[in-house]
Amino acid sequence: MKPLSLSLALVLSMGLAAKADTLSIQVGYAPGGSFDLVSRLVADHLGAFLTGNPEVIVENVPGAGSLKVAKMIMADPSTEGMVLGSVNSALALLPVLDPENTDFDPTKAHYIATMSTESSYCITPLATGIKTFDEFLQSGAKVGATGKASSTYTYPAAIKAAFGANIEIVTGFEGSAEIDLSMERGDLQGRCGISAANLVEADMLTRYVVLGEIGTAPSAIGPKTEFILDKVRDPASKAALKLIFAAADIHHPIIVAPATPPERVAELRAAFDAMVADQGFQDDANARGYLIGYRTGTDVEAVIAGLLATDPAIKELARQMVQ
Amino acid sequence: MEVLIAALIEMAEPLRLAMLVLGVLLGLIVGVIPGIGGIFGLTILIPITYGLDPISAFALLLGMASVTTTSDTIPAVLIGVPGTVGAAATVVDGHEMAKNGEAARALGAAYTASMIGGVFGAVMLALSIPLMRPLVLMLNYGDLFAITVFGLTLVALLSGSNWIKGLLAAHLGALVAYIGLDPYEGVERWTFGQVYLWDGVPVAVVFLGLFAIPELAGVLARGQIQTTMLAPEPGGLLRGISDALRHWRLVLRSGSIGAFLGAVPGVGVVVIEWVAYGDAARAKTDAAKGEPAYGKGNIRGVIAPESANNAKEGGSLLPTLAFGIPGSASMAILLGAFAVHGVVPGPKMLEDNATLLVTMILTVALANVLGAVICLGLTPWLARLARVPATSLVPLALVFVGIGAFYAGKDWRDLLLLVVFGLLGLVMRRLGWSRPAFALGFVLAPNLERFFFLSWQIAGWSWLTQPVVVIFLAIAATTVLRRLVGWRRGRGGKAVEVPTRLDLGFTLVVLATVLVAGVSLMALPQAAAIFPAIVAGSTVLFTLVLLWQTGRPTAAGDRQCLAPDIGFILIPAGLGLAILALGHLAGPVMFLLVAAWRFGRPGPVLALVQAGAAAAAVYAVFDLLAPQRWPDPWLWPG
Repeated sequence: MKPLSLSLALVLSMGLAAKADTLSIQVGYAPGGSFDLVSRLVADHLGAFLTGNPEVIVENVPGAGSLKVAKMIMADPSTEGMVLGSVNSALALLPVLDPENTDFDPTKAHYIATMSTESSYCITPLATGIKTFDEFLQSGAKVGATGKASSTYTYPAAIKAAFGANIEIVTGFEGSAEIDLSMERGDLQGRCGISAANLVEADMLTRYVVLGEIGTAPSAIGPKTEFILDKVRDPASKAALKLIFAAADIHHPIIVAPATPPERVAELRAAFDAMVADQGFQDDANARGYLIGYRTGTDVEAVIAGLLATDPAIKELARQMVQ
Repeated sequence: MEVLIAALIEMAEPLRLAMLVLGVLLGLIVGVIPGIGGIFGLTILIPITYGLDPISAFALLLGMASVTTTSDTIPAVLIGVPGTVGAAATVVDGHEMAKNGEAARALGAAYTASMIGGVFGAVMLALSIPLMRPLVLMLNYGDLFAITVFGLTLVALLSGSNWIKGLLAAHLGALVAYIGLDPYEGVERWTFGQVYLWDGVPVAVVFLGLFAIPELAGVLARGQIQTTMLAPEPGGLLRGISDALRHWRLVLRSGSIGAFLGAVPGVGVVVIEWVAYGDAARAKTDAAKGEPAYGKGNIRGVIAPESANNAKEGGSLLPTLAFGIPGSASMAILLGAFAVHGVVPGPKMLEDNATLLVTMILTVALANVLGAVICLGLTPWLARLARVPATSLVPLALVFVGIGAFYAGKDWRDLLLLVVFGLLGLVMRRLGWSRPAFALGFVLAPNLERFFFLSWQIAGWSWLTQPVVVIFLAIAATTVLRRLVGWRRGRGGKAVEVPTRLDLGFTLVVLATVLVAGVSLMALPQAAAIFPAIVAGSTVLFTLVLLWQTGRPTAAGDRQCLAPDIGFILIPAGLGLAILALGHLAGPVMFLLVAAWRFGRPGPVLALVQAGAAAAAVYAVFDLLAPQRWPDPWLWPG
């Protein structure tokens, strides 16, 4: 009997050990990208600002430009708020750009914060000889994109439609690394949707011309270049383009399941606010080359509500632009 | 030379050497555990590197990343379980050698090939640095498409005795690989509405199911790893080392494949090892006299993938160093470490950080030597595992296979797919459908589709006239033609397989499944459907040829039966249920205790110790070293 009772005790204790509470940030992309980097930065600090100081871990759940993890979080029935999602900001525009896709509802998910509000940029290699955004629009350039739901596709598609530009979008790249190498090789002549943080990596600024800035307001921290929205004349096109570019205002959002109670949402938001204000966190972010452009969860939800309340005609125009 | 000496002096500092050794030891541990790989190790180590100087940091990171593909050979050879996805090709001949009492020889050859391949990759990296940008940019997507087509023709050489079954196996692999969102339109293909399948079937789960489960079934059926009751061959380790040295041309050739393809983002270690394996099989006539056939324990089948997967590390650093563009997830993590330490990648590193650059190359080379030496030192003990009773070994190995698969997505479907692909592997093995051919189809088919669409969008059809494309397509066509001619000439002299009802049944199941899958493609946009449709159509055609070739099954062949396979698959299925019901710690404990009771060994006390030790190992790796949020066990919900 002794071995039997010992066995049962072992199994029981291990079963309970498996339930130890850990807060997980599920990243919708593979390790190494900017979503992964910011999540790991948060994971290293957030626990200290939450009740009970839980361990915070990062799990990578790549797929469909983070729609996979967003859908999983939407379906998460737990009410403890122990699983956060690090997802693409463009998902907030899913009801606008792909109304038939009900995998993610930005009005039901709780936004805890956004870690960045940085603009994106259009770039071309020096070797193309293209010097300005206007030249780019008439160049017949091939621009690289990953999937059709990604901002590497929606941004150039919207620009093409708004300006009647003579550019082509090549889709199917596995990641931005492949797009960049294809530009180096001369197969592609441009990329729209690169962040300021990526632009300052390696010696990119010495090899590329920054053609224009994608965002709803000129950035204070990125490279100085033409602000694309200022160049659109037609008011309707400008409004639609602004809607599409608004994703940059909530870059790197963090979400939690709709089932999470308001008190827990508030606690998570307060922890993020306190963490970002902490000097240790800021120093660490600087050391890792991460540009902080923090916005609170309440702010993010207000921004999204504003976007979704846009005139239906403008939303329809935006949707057509990114087809 | 001054920089080299300066780098050596820098590396000789005790802290840096200690970091290198620590990295290597962790890399070796990560390599042995199925289902996890270098990325797992890098994500553990990155936070540690924040407080280190750049040379120590990269000694730790690169030391770890360089040797996971050295130690992953241990489970691959001994129990047929690939330690990382980069060792699946090594299982094919390596485990056969272990069965024949040649485990030490296989391991000796593998480590030596890994070491030389790894050092060769580092040397290639060093030589490439002045030219690194043009080198990285040499191949475009058209070239890669042609190389992939060439890679697929290697299926013909991995097909075993029946080339139609081999081709069909490759087709099945391709069809499985097309599950998920298509790369061009982003629509769902054969996902059954499951978000779980959007990113495709997890590679680690497919390989663990296809290779590990059938091989462990074989070990259990034999009673131990070795088939023969003879003692392991004395001096096997030295013989293995000498084999690798004797086949130095193959080591360097495979090393070149590893280093070269490693520098191409999007290719990856899984493709590299199978291409190197197929390439070795292609060139078998020149030096393989006296060796068993490929798949039956040919030493060259161990040497080639092991050299290539270690050489890859040097190659994969190239795009990162040349442009600051990471060629893989591991390199993206490494690029993050560059940023933390204020290092700007690119040719200017030669001016600004030359010493660091050389220490990185030295780290890759030294780690490969150190990793191989440690593994060689352990081999005499490890080789004794070949005679451990299977009833003790197999349940323990299955626990790590199960946890490795569950780690992929921490989803019940990981364990279901492990059982499904385990059963498929068992049936394929029993009926002579080549699993290496399946693996090649599985890893290459997605690239074929993606590279085609990218080439076509970028250059229309003009890429078809590029010299590299013409050369590789011509070699591919010649390979297929020669094989066809060889088959026509040789078919009269070969023993005719005795067809069984099992053969017929399995072929009909394949035919029906593929027909249904093919019809379902009609609802998809043309671009998303075209490649799977071509493969499905071709599968139907070859299935009909096989049915015609098989003819009417005879009772004589029916001695083969699936009962033992189905009996075995219940064991991993039980493990999966135990993990889901009781959790990732208690589940394996319960499984091991039940297995000990069912098999009658080891005794109660030893069984408890074994189960406790296994759970402690799982806890140490997956809860302490790299904490995970495991799903709640069914019996302890909420």
